[in-house]
Amino acid sequence: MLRAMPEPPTNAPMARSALTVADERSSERAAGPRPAERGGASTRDPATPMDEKVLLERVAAGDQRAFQLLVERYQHRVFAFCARMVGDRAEAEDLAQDVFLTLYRNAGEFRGESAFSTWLFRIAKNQTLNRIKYLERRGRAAGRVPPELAEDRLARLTDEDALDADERLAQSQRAEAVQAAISELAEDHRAVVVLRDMEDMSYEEISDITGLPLGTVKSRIHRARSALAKRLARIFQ
Amino acid sequence: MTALDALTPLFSAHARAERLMDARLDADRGEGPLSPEDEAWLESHLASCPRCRGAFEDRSRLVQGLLREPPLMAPEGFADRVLARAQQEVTQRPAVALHEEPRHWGQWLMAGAAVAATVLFVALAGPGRGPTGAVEVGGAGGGAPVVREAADFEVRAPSVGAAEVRARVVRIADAHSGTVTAHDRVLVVRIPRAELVGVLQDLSRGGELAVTRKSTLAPEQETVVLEVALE
Repeated sequence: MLRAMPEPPTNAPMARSALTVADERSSERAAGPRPAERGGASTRDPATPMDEKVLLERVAAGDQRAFQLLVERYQHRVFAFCARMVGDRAEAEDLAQDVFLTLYRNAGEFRGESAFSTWLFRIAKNQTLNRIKYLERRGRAAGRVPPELAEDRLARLTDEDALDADERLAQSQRAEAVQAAISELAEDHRAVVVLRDMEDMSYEEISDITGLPLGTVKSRIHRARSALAKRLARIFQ
Repeated sequence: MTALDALTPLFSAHARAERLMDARLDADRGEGPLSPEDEAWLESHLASCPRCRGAFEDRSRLVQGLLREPPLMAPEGFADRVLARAQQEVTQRPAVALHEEPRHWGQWLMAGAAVAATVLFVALAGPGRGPTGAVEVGGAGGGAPVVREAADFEVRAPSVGAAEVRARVVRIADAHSGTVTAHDRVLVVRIPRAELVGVLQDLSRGGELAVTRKSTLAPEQETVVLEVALE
């Protein structure tokens, strides 16, 4: 059955008491390295899931503003996950855009049985693994981190800190080494260790996202850490 | 006692220590503490085993190092680009005459009961081609269809009934702003290239359809044509 997309409401004021638009914007500006520091994106924030369910219901009804809030809230985390997985900034942006568009198209299918972030990262994980297979078939396997990633980080550090040139160079080189080591992992190992040790998600959340039993998640993280520890022992001395 | 018997407890101890290392490192990150027995055993083992102590230290530095890695941030303007694509989907979505669908489905369902879907070919058409005339499809009288362009993707559905395949393909095409034209034994589905990844993902979702890539996409190609061949 063909399904017509509802027209976006032209006059759909959002309930500020539920969505706190101003807070969203200010938290976005303060987006930081970990979920808990990225405004409302933490899955462990008890106030977040309800708000996000409301937002998704509005997205399903065609509310572009609600979609905008969700994108702004999660853009950095989704992009970072995609970039870690594919190791290519342009590919990661394209992929992250697709993730949010999938969310947009399927907002009505969210049943609230898991946290919104879990649902979103499940989409991201599935699309990322598909993209990696697609790229591999084209002979473009994920590999070294592209220079842009390190340059982007370098520019940010320049803004944020008064680090001297040697320190910035060391950080950039370390970032490249970390990404290269991550890219050498098998995709399924890469996904779980990125979610755990870079996105700081719990084992239970990762189990929900990957659909793997908890024991399998733990064993994959164990093996991924073992491999990374060998490759990065010199880097993290 | 053989040498292997003598070494087995040692290997088991190392293996147990390795298992407990992660639990110990994760204990401070909301995963719950080790049991007092495990904690005491691990501490004792690490004190007496340089190899495991070194491995634990490497692992600990790794986890802390990864957590301290500066975050990757979405590029500037990312959210605006996503919103623009979403808005484009809304405005470009073809108007669908919903009331006409049951008639098509009825026809398909009646004809489809004895039909087995075999192969879906996904071919790419160049820019500016007409909606249905771009790919010449033969085989209407039976047998394999003739696709006069090299297929870029092949999607196999060996055990799915034709009606189900049709319903699924139409749903997916619609969800990606596509159009569907029914020929004798072929459905021609046209989809914007930007939707290709989403379409392939939707097709492969559930596992019953397997997607195989046949060739590399040319940069100028803008439209994807799916050919659904039935026999």
